[in-house]
Amino acid sequence: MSASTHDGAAPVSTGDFSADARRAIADEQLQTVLSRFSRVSPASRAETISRLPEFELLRDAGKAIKDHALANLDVYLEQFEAAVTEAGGQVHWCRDAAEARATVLQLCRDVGARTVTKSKSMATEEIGLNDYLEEHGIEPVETDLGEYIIQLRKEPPSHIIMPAIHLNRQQVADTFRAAHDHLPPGRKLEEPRIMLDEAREELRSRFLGADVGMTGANMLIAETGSIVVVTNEGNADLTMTLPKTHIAVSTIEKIVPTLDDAMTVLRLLARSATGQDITVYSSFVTGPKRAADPDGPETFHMVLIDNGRSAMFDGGFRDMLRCIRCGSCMNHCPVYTTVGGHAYNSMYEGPMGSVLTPGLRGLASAGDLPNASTLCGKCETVCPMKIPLPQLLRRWRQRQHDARLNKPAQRWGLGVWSFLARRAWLYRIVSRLGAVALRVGAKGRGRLGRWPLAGGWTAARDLAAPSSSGGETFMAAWRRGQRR
Amino acid sequence: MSTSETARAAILGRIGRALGVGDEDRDSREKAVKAWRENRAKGRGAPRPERAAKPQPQRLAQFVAESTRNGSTVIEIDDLAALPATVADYLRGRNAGGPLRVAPHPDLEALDWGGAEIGEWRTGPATQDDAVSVSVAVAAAAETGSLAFVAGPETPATLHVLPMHHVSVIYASRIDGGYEDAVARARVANDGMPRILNVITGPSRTADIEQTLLMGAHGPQAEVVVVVKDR
Repeated sequence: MSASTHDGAAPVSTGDFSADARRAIADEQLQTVLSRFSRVSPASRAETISRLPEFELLRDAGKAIKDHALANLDVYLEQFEAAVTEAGGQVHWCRDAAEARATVLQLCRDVGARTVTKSKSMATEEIGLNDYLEEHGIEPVETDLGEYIIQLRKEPPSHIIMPAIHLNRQQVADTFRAAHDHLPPGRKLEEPRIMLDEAREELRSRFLGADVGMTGANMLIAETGSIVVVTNEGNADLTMTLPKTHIAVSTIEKIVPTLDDAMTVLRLLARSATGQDITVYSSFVTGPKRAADPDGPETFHMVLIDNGRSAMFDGGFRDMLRCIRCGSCMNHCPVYTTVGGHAYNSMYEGPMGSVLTPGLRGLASAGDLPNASTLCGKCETVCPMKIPLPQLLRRWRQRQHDARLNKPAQRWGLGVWSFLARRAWLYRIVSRLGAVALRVGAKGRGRLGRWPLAGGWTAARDLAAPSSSGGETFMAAWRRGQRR
Repeated sequence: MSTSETARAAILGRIGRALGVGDEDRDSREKAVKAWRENRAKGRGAPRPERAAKPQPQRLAQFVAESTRNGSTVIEIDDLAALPATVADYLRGRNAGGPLRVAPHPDLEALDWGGAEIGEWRTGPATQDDAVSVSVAVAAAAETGSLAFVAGPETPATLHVLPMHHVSVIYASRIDGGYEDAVARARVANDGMPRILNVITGPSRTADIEQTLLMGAHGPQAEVVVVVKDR
């Protein structure tokens, strides 16, 4: 049984990272999908970047833009608000998820909305908007193909830009057969092309019939009051052009100062995300339709959410607010590409999710995530915004320790180690005793099949022991000059 | 105070406290913002990649190559008058057809569409029934073969996403080097930002089913770029 079925047999996330990771590793279908994904994604990024020799310079520039915007965020937010208002839009400020949900619901009710078409928005995932709207009698329809598929399956996304990456074509076909029950049940649905055409047809009527179109925003431009929305499918453009009302939902850290700054971020975003030079549709929206425009929405609402950002601002995690949600860190992460996105039990997965989720939800409930990393550092080297992800993960681990939120055994072990490490003479004695114990335990074979407290290691492989002839500690070997 | 006003004060207050609340702090931030904007206005900003700053003689070839790489079909013509016949030829070659929607743009409305054996055609914004659309790009960026469209009475935004085939007209003289130039040109042409400025690079696509790349997700399956060599 796959861990990601939608028949109610198993939830995709239980909230226990270790248990979910183990289940994901045993899931053959998921492993097949992830294995292909972990080859394809890094290769396409590398190929595109090889055609842009200035990529490193642009990373520095992107970082500088976001650092400057964040260092002057209050001024830029006020500029953005003034410019949106000037263009005929309305800005709605919301401190947290509850305020944001209530604001969106009220805006929908004001226009008597029954259906809302949506293009992919992590901010609306973050505030749990879809469930809330449904509970209040308004139907949200996700229009990004991946989001549409997982909405039909009642599953959370497993990747910030490829939400249905955990599924194979058979699962998608089964989902469509179950959901599109007005179509002949025996129809052919083998090929992705046929499935796409069916989804396009189904969603067309939804686009045309929606009362409200809702999008996220990849950037908010303070200079012009524009939002930038990028997609490859064109679903955002249909969403924000056909209905009478456009509601954009985004978070405060998405600000960039000027139009030109947005161009630098665009040069980084798609290359890091999908390995394209640029997404097919990069749209700059400034207010509602003008008097002479033959199409476009009559009203434009900007729902601007904090939801934990301002707390991260002065809490040692400001670097994380540079994130442009490309997904490159997870595409390259050995942990993400092994366990998939659902084990993270958050709309933000991989390294960026492991830093962001504890900031949004608190360490007490998301404490596994900063530990779900080998700290190999690959994420930082591929991050277009040069976010020091390993450093931020370590910072969470340290806070976890200080707040006594980690396991007692782990705290005790670290306590013993730090006691020894601060007393070099004692450290030497204990490590020498350890080396002797390992040598005796190995009985001259040079390796150990079992060892107390090392069951996790020795279950799958032997533990190397000091050789019976030498048996000295690392420090002793170092002093003797064996510096290899 | 409304909820939004209370929230605004709380959010800006918290950020302000993190950045420094003194009058001097706020003053220095406003100066930093002003200086940044002035620098950008003088064209001093982030580095421009070499591919986004080619001299004019190289831009057409670069634009054609990058557009093609990103999945567009590029056709070059010497005179806009040839457009209806070019579109008709293209559609015949693809065995495609159906209702054609032409942007209510003076350059396009002046053309002889009826004489091109093109079937049913109308001007205006697109509807669900239109199979093919034609609109005029206000600018282009050679760096990735991208086109810029300014929504307005001459260029309804629905034309770019509803039909299966979208034909874009771009005058060679309006092909710029990088995004910054193309967007600046669009902004000047429109006398400010339009409701929506679409930067489009190739046909609509998705890879959401098993990472299989497919064209025509929600927007056009084919993006045809007609370059009018007006210089």
